[in-house]
Amino acid sequence: MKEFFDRLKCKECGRSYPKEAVHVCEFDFGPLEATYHYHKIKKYVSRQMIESGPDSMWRYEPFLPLEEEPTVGLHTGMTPLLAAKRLAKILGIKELYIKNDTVNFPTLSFKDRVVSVALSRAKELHYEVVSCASTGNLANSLAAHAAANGFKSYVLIPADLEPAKVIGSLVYNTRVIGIKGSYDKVNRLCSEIAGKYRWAFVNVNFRPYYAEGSKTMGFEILEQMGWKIPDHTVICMASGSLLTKIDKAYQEAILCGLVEEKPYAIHGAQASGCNPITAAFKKGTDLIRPIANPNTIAKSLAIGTPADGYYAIQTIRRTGGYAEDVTDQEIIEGIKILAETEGVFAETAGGVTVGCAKKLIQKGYIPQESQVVLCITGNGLKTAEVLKDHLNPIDVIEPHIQDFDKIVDFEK
Amino acid sequence: MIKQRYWLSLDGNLCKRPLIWELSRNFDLIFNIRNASITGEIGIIGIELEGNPEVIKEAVSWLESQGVHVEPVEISTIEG
Ligand SMILES: Cc1ncc(COP(=O)(O)O)c(C=O)c1O
Ligand SMILES: [Zn+2]
Repeated sequence: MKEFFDRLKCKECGRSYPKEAVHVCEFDFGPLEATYHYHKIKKYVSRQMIESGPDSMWRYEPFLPLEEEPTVGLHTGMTPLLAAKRLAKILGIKELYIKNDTVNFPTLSFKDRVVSVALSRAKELHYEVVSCASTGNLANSLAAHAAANGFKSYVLIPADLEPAKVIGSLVYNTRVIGIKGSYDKVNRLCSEIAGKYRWAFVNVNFRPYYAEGSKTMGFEILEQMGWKIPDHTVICMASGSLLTKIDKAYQEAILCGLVEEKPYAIHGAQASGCNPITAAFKKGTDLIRPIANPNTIAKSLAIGTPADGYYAIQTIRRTGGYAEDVTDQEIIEGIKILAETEGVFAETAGGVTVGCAKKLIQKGYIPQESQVVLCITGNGLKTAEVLKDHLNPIDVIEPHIQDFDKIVDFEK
Repeated sequence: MIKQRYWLSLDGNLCKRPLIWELSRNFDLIFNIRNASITGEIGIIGIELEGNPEVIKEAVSWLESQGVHVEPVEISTIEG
């Protein structure tokens, strides 16, 4: 039985809410967030204790909003942190690391972390049907975890999603509903559905639980860096939730004595075709202007009305970070240099992170003499079609050694 | 009678117009503004509308036709 998870609290006014399936404050519509008894966690956790915990995100269980033992996603997390020496050289940076969630279990994106927490909580609250509206990765993860844990599931997606992401949900025998129409209309319908059906809608009524799962990516980075906060962390943003939660993990680790306090910068990355957060940041405001019709190959980041955009900007400003965006062409280049130098095939969101990191270094927002972690959040096989026409063609030859020799000679 | 909660985002030129007053003149709805941030360039208002569902729908369409971006408070119902 856990005594660490305290309650839900409005981020705007601080009012308390019970630990139920609620997500916005009745008074000011502010988002609700999980809070904990940190003094108890601090007494309970230590570096050694965490290191000897399960080889998964659940070694950070005291920091997650559950009341019982976790039941869903027991193998999720603890993905590799790679020292990226070749990429560091190309980008001209002293020390560079890749937090590689392209190999997260089971569905190859960081969304497995959030869904593991949301569905563990959904079980605690006795929900039997789970649902989400997603641009792909979340749908894949929800469908897989639902299948493995006996939930009935419905996933709603924009009708024009990448084929691999559609198949990657269908295979788990979930109900996939493709919704036609502009982004706004899809959002509107989803909120109506979420209001009408008493389901665990992971990113609506379960959002306070779901979002906390992203913290584990931050905790893992700290532990894998040898219990140190990296000078710079670059994170791609859709709703901006992951970025704020990685910062929350760093803050909680300081508070509970797991790492020493030091200055660090959190940088946010978006695609120029859907950049509501970076545009507001660059303008110097906190108020986000919605993007009605996102247009980018980074579909997983194409959220025109980012729920946590305001808080992401606050975090970036507070830590002295910067927000940058990149074009589709730069995203493709980002995917390619990461693959060519480090052997990591990331989806478009990863291309955004790499592309923006490159710009941040060039512009001097990340100094060359620093230590940088790039959060690579999804797998390239899910968006492989964007590379069509951007890679060398294969050499097709007759089955004769002379033909083969010609190719090799040519390369010499 | 139902209650619906929305975030309205408006551009600078619309901020100067008494939009909510116009809304109250044109539609038989109860309004409750819960949150608002306005700068010269952009305004964001959190509002609860109470009334006949059809009238709420009409009011939302009217706001949109005036150039207001209307988003249910359950925002980010779509995620990556
Ligand atoms: C691969 C990938 N990276 C990053 C994100 C951004 O997450 P957030 O909405 O927490 O900003 C998403 C999804 O939203 C995603 O699918
Ligand atoms: Zn509140």
